Amino acid sequence: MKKSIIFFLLALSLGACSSAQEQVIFPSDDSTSLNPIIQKHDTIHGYKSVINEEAILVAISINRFDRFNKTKIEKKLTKQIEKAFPEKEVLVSGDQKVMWEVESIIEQKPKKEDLKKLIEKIKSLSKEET
Amino acid sequence: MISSLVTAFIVGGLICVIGQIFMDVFKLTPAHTLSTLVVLGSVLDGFGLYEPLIDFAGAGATVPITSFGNSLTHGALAEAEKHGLIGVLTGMFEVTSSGISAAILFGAIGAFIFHKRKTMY
Amino acid sequence: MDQQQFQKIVDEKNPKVPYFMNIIKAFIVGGIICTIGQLITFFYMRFFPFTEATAGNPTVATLVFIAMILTGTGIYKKIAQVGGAGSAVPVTGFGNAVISAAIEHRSEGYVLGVGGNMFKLAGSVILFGVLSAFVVALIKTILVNIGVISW
Repeated sequence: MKKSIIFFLLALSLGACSSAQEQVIFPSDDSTSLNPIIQKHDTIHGYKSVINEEAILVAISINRFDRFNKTKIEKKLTKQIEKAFPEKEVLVSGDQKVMWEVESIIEQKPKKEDLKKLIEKIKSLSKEET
Repeated sequence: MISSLVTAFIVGGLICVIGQIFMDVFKLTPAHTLSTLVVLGSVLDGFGLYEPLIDFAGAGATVPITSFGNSLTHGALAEAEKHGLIGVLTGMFEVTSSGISAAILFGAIGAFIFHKRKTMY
Repeated sequence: MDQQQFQKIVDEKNPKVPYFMNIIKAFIVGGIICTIGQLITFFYMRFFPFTEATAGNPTVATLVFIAMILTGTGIYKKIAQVGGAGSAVPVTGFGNAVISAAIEHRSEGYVLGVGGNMFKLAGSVILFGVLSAFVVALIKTILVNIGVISW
């Protein structure tokens, strides 16, 4: 009985690992140079990104077992994206909260000024320490 | 989402298994077991290994008592990185563990609300 | 009766520790508590401005609050009888130790009873937590300063 529960949980955890790459960028026309950078990383199975004139936010979904190296992956990707977008402030995060916030921005489709405020909000959130 | 819950279950469960082994095999009292685990968490953070574990397992790593040793060490190390040796001391006093403050507060409230009975195991 | 015989009788009289079952029980009970913790973390992240890094604190506080209710109503004692270390190792176990001591000694007054006895069990955890944090941070800082390792 108890063994079957453990097997069930194991099967669940393995099944949850295999999901296809998911990419959403807002506004959608800015995708050209972001896509190839992230696709090179096989530790990431999807990303959602928001871009305006000053900043670029990238929320990435890191594979379960690569999450041990979350900070390293974030740093590496930040450097690479900074190279591609030298004039913009880059924030890369594997945090679920940032992912949810980016998703809500994409759903809302805000105007320019609102977008700026929302991006600032996420930035200050992700800088907070425990 | 579901995979986060499963990893939290497995990692949290494994840390508890380590505690159970301390209690059964090495015949430690619960107080000794918890103290050992706190020291373990602190040492792991010294090697920079506990934060990756939290990134991996979420609540599976923050809920067991090992995270208490980790948060204390982490505060001390963060200050030490900024201010050198003095920072080790000031960092110790700066960090608070929400677990301890919560336990003190709710302990007092609990003593106020609940009647005396055998509640300990 | 020599020492060996005595030991044999003692071993026979003592119930054998069911190592395997205890470990399974600790794994499941501890795992369930951590899963509930993960659900609370998701709740705080979804509805409040907390990230994965900062949601740990409110989660722990909430779990200790739940531990207070369960301790006061005597349910935590029953969980502990099943779970062993699975109920003692999560922060709820720490909360249970503090809160149950506070409740039991209330009759001696708030200052001497509650205040004085609250940390009878949990005090050692705090002592060794602070002490080891100090030692580890000190060693690491010294090692960094003499250039053996980097941050």
